[in-house]
Amino acid sequence: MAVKKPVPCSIYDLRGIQKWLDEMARQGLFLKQVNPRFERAEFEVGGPAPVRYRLDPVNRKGKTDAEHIALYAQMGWNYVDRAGRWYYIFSCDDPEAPELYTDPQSLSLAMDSLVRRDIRNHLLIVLLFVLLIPLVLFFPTPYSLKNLLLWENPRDLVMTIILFALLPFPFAFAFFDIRRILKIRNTLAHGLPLPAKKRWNRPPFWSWYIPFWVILYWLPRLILPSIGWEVCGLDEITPSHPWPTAAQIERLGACPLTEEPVTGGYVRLNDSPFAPVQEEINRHRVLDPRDPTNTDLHTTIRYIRARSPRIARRLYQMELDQEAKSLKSRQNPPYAYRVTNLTPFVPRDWPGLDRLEAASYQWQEQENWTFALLRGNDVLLVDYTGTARWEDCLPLFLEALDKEAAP
Amino acid sequence: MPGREKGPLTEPMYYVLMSFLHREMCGTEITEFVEKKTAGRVKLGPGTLYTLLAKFQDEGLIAEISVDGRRRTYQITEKGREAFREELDRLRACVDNGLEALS
Repeated sequence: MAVKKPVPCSIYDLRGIQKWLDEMARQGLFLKQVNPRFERAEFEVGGPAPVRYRLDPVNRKGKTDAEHIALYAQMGWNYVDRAGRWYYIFSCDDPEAPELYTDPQSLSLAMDSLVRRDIRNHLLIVLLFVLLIPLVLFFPTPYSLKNLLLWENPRDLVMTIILFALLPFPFAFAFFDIRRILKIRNTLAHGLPLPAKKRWNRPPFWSWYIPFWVILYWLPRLILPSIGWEVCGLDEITPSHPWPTAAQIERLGACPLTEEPVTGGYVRLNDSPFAPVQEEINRHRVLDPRDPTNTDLHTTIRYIRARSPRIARRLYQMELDQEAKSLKSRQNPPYAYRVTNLTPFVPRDWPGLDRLEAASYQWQEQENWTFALLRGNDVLLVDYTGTARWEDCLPLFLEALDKEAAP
Repeated sequence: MPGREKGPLTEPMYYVLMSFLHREMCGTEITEFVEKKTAGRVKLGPGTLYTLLAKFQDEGLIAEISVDGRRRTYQITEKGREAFREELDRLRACVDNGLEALS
């Protein structure tokens, strides 16, 4: 019969682990194996016996494990298992056999490569984090920067912030661990025995793993949605500005409409401290009410009011880049309806505007254009399918931009 | 040739190095030699013995001369003899100083 128990001592508490294993043997539990992280031990049940268990730091140079095991067996110490990258575990049932290490200095020497290896690993982890922080802070990806400014995926944002808040913990862990390892080595090097410690000096794995995941993974899921946008129908909200209607735009084209057509679509709304107004109106004319896919005169109005002109400039560039990239990629597979005859964004001059760029293309055999404008804190992108020219429509949008919608 | 640069030898180190002075030895022979020489006062556990042998090899104080199955035989080098002499002089000086202080 086998019994499993958690190892109650820190991996650096050699004396504590050895004492615990000896106690188990006196209770009739004989160590069979340990897991690679040396957190759980499996015992065989038998009659109580004064078996000694000792840990031998892994540092043999030029000797194979088998050779090492055989040499120890000659002197009465039998191999039990290897505890990860830290120790070999040996047992001895001969009370006359000398200890595995008969003086602390030799144990200190044996621990030397283990100590150096563990310190090096800790320092590498710290170095990795030190390099990672500026990388994340100063070279943000367009996605993460956009997310920070617009809060499109607030959960990702909060998880990143929590991750940063938890960053000091690996540093603290590495610092205390290195201090503890050096203290053990120095104690042994001075010929002193290792001090006996209180049992359960090793926090169980779940005691930090569960809170870590609850805070990092589950808490943001419980309190925040994945998508920041709120989606609603065209008639459910009043837009921030009285944007031109389909009929108003078509009046400027080759096929003017006599009255407002039946339109379908949706509005996406969001806000963030950096961009308190975010609005995207997707609108199209419904040609056949029985077939919702039979549509034309598509218009997408994406409006952002940023907190400052500087943020607006940054957002304008990001939106423009994204739109340019999207148009370029839609020229190729896997898109079934591809963009053709693309004239990429070209900067234009327009009185009163900080920046204006426009592109034109064909899609589903219809003429399309997109313009992006920046004026102070305002960023506006309009994507249109129809017969009107962008130069003619722009004044309509600028007029709307000057007016606030009636509440 | 200079001996060991890394400070004085510990008692187990001293006796392990001493065991090679007259002939080459393997692990179990060293243990028996040290126990006999010190009348059981100094005992060498396998961990201690093989850690010291590895260290002496690294420092060039002993050299492995043959491997017969699992039996490895070592012999002392000139650097090892020098290190032993230095340690002996140090211990002799310590004893002389102690005797002088007592008289």
